[in-house]
Amino acid sequence: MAMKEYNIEALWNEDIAPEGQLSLGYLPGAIQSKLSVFGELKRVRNLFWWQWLMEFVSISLGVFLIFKSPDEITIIEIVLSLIYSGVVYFLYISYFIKFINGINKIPALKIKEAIQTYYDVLCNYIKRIYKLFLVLLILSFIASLIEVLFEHDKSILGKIIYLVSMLIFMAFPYAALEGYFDYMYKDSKTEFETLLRELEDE
Amino acid sequence: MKSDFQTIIKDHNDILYKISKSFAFANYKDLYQEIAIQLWKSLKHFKGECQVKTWVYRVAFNTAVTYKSKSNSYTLKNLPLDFDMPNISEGKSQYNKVDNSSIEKKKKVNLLYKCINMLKPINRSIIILQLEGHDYEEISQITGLNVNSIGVKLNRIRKSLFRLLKENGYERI
Repeated sequence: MAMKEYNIEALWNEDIAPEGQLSLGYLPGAIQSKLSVFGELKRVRNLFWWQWLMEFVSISLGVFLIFKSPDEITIIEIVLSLIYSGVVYFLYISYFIKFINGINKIPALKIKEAIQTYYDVLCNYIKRIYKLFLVLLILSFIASLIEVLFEHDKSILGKIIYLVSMLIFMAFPYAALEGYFDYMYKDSKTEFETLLRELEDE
Repeated sequence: MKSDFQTIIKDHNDILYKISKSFAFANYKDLYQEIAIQLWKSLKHFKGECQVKTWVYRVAFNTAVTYKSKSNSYTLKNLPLDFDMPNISEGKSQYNKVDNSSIEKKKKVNLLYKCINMLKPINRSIIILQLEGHDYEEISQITGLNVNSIGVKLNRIRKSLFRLLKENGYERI
């Protein structure tokens, strides 16, 4: 029996390339898989979930402490800490969403520009969460400061010594914060900077 | 050189789009980019020894044949025919305004691409060139195949394509 013929020519001519949809800014998956910078982007993205896992552990610990000795913690303290954590988590999540949206929508027209934009999005994200962590550190210092100032069973000298020593000890968490950001994010930035230099030289 | 490249891409946008879809239906945007990059890289070596269109075809086919698509034959077979047709079910798209026959036509076009994707790479190049209206001589120039064998090959390819279209439910659309 003869094979039925279809008018494939008409179908072929029916399809027309969409204007402007296939811009050169779209970075192909094949290129992405070749560039280690995208591995770094993935790592930074996954880091968010690891940090949440740690948050989950600390929240669980807090809840456990409340249930263990409910008399020592007042409702106001719980409400305040909930508001405080809520604001922090809101900012952290919104930064992460901005980061993800940023890397998903790269409007550049050339690969170098696209990589530069990825780099800028990554730097912005790191800068934002660094600032958030720094503000948290400063706020915890201010909270301790207020607590000490309103303590009645300490002399003025005792309060001053306590605050000075606290200020000195603040250097440790600050150094830890710097170290943490260096350890977690420096490689990613360096990868991008190296690639951008290579593209510059081409 | 930059403006030359942009002109080439603009002038050949339609065929680059169709070649990309015929070789990597599920990831055609990726392939389109790969071809564009290869064209950019080889532009400096193009000395005008053949027509620009012939050169574009050669680069595009070479890139497409060696392109390793992330999707396999399973993905291709299971890819819906309304692939790349925005929001038909939600009724929010441009298809809102068109009748069902246009949607059917688009599905048939997608089926055609799917079936071309199922052919051997060299056969895809040959059928694309014929669908683009090139004669045997031109097909031979672009693909490097013997001009006398093109006719026989095309006959076989068309038969395979019709069989694939039938097997994949062309008449049920």
